[in-house]
This record gives sequence, structure tokens and C-alpha cells, in this order.
Amino acid sequence: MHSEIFNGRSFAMFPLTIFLISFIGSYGLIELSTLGANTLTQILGFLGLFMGLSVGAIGFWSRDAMKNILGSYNLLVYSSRTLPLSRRKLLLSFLLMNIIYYTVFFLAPLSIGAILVSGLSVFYGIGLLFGGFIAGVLAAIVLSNLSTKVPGYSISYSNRFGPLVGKNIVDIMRSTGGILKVFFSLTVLTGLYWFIVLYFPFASYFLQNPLISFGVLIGTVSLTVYNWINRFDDAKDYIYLPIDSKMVLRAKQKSFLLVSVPLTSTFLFGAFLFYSGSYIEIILSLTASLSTQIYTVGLGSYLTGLKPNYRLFNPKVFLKYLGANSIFILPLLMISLFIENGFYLEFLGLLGLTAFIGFVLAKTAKP
Amino acid sequence: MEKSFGDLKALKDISFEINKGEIVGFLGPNGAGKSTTIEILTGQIERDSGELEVLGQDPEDDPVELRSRLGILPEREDPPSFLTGREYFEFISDIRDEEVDEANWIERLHLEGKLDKLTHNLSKGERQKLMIVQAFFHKPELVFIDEPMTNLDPVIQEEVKQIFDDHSETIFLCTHNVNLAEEVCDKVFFIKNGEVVEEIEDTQNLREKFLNNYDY
Repeated sequence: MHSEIFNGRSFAMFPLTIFLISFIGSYGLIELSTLGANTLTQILGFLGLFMGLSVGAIGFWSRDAMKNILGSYNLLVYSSRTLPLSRRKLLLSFLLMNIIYYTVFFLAPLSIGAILVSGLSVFYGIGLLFGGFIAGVLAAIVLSNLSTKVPGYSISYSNRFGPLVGKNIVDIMRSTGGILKVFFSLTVLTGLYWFIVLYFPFASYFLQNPLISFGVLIGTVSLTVYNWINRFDDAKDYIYLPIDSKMVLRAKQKSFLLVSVPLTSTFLFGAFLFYSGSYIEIILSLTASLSTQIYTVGLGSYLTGLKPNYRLFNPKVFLKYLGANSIFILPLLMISLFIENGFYLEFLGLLGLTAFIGFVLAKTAKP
Repeated sequence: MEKSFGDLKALKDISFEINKGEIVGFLGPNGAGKSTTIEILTGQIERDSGELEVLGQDPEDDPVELRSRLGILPEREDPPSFLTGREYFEFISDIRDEEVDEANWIERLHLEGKLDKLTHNLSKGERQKLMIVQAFFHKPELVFIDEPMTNLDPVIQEEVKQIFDDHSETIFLCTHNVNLAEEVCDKVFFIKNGEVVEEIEDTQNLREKFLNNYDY
């Protein structure tokens, strides 16, 4: 399916891209820094866990897919209605497909990149990568099963922000797992940040000022909210009404902000409880989060339109996404480290520019 | 007009005219090009060539504006959504800026007790009833209908025919149901392999005429 979508050569580029990122990252870590193979081992283990959790999150939307909420999303899922196959068996097949997919296209090239740099000394790390991946998949599936007990019907449709936005909000709140599935995705991604900051000495610089850098980071990883918002319908679903795909895209962008800003703010307030910062830090953190969320939805919708869940797997799009993020997010993270040295205006200026560029990208995005 | 999808010529130099107030049938077997024709006429997809006017405008000029004047009943299992039936009515009312006369439609299409269920929990026939409501509730100047009777029981089928009859504006009906076309249409076009092969003004004995054209 992916090779059809992205054509063969483009698809083959994806594992190559992962390999190059792994090779360059491992080389930088081993050869150009004071860190050693031990750190690489730990990073590989955590990456495996993180990817496993992401793959296992399929459990959150598989039930809805099975009920054909998503239309004939794909033949494999749809076949539960026409062939003598149980939903459980289909879910397992789907999961197996994803495990194979991630193994071949992510884990293997990642491992080869690390091995080429540090040799077999990283063998234990490779074991952790695969072990962490399996553990993550299992943990996410257990959590998604528990989440089916969460009621999601308390919200009702409202056209306060427009009918399409109202429907988007209802879709995400009433689908399996409700808002918890989005919360879960953000927890996984922000957990990665806190884990690295707290347990890896090389990242401990961030602890000098964790709230502001966390504000930058959570706005960046909020792309996962945009992914969730685009899981439940397609612009074609509305073509019989006076609605075009641009209107659907605008509604998705607005829905993103309505869901993402309160959720990410909740995470930030949680962080404020642990790291009681000054009012200035708290305000800067919230501003950073808002600015980077605008940039994220602008960039995400500009590069992937209404299909973030698979267009980001196109290596060209993926590299553009990484590159565009590094232009604004990396400088923001760097300045946040030294902000107490009087870089407040520079930081705010860059936040303003980031939000502005995000706004322009959002306005020029195409479905 | 003409339309191809890759090597497949879906519509080949198709040409026809429909007058205001007519119920026109577009009859043909599966894959003849009926749904493609509706999609082009309603601005859902673009044609490759040809001239076209629907309610005085080219559908490609401003498809959203055109669709605001139309009713469209597509051939698909909509609405697949987490909205309840009642919320779906609110949704389409908001989209079209016109209230759905809920009580009237509940009575006509036997929707009592169904509107508080999530639409994806309704049966296919019940979902089709909601789709019929969305195509007609705003009294559009022109309604495009693709296989309207799918999944409907005979009682509701009769009511839907009555809805067609009560709707005094133009209806463009795509179907392979010859009996339905014979019963409700003023005029019928036979379509085959992307071409109009015959225009029938007298819809009596339509089945015989249809079978003569489609001897495969």
C-alpha cells in the first residue's frame, strides 16, 4: 500500500533515510561527543519502547475502523465484514503487519546505522531496541483495551466554531478511547523528553530551565493531535454538500487548536507543579507552547494536508518536516537554555516569527 | 463531455439536455458511467473536455456555490459518523443555513426513536433515510440521486417515490432499477460504456426497451 502511494523509489528511500539518520546520529554521539556506546545503548532501548507504544496505539482506533466508521479504510480491515475472519484475528494481522513494517523499515536500518559506527559493542542496545519495541506494543494495546471503558458521549455537537469543527470535536471525543487516546500519545512523546532530560547526563542542561524548553517541545510534538484529528473522515465524505476540501482543511486546523491548546496546557501545568518556576517562566512556557503549536499545525498541514498519517512516511516529506523544524525549533530550544542570561527579547522575537511562519504555512496549505 | 481515468474512458462524448421540472432517468448497467456523470455535473470531479451548464453555471467555476443550490444523494453508506441522527440534522442545517423540518421527516420516513442513536449504529437503510432527508430538506432547484432505493424496504420505497413526486423541481436520477425509472421518470437516457445510446420520451414498457439495448 505504501509503495503504491509513494511509488517504489520513494518508498525505498524511507529505510535509507532512517539508516542515514541513525548512522550520522551514532557517529556524532560516539566520535564527536564525550558520550560513549553506553548512552547509545540506552537511547536505542528507549527508541524501541517509544516506537512500540506508537505502533500499539493502533488499538485505540482499530475498533472504530472495524465498525467501518472510517469507510472502507483498507481491504484488510473491511474484510471482517465479508469474510469468515474474526475481528481479533484481523487486529492481530494488522498488528503483525505493523510490526514487520516497523522492523524492516525502522528497526533494521536503525540497527545497521548504529552497528556500522560502534561495532558489536552496541549489540546489547540492539536487543533493547527490539525488546523495548515489543514491550511498547504490548503496553499500548493493554492501555487501549482499558480505554474502551472511558465514556465519550458527554460532549454534544455544537456549531459554535463552525459545523465541521463541531463534527471533528465530536468524532475525536466519541471515538474509542475518547480524549484519552490523544492524551496517551502526548504522554508517550513528552515522556521521551522527561526521560532523556532526567536520566541522560548529556541532556541535563535542560534541567537548568526545563519549563520553557518543555513548552517548545510539547508544541512541537503536538503534531500527534493533528494526526488524530485526521483519522476519522476524509474530505470526500462531504463532497455531496457545499463543502470543498479547503474548508475541511481549515476546520481541521481550527479543531487542532481547540483540542491541542487545552491538552498541552494541562501538561504544562503538570510540569509547573514539579518545577515551580517564576511567573515569567510560566508565561514564556505557555507562549512557547502556543507559538510552536501554530507552527506545527501550519507545517504539518502545509506538508501533509489532510493525510498526515501516511504522507509523513514519504521520505521527502519527512526530511522537509525535520528540516523545517530544525530551522525554528532547535534555535528556540538552544535559546531556552540560556534565556536567563538576558535572551528574553530574542526568545520572544523568535517565538513571534515562528508563530507568524506557522500562520502563513497554515493559510497556504493545500488539502 | 468526456472523462477518462488513466486508460479507462469513463465518458465518451456524452451529450444531453434536461428541462426544468423534469424527473430524468439516467439508466445503465454497472460501470456505464452514471456516477461519474453525477460527479462531473455536481462539481465533485473535473471533466477532461466538453461544455457544460448546470443551473446556468459551469460546475467547475464555483462548485461549492453550485452545490449550495443542489441536493445530492450519493451512492454510498453515509453518514459514517459519531454524530447522532439529530445532530446530523443540525450539522446539515448549519451547513446549508436552513432548518430541517424534523417532525415532518420523522413521520414520512419512519424515523421515530432513531435520531438519538449514533449514525454508525443505525442500519444501512436508516442511514439511507438520513441521506434522503439531506438531499431534499432545503427544497433544492435540482436534485441528483444515485441509486436511491438501496437498502430501503418496500414501504419506504413508496414514500421516497412520493417525495420525488412532491418535489416540484428537477430531479436527475441515476439507476439501474428499470421499474423505478418507468414509474417516476418523465424522460430516460440509456447510457452504455460511457455513451448515451438512446433517449426515451415514452417511459412505458421501459424494461423491454432497456433489455433491447443491453444484450451484452
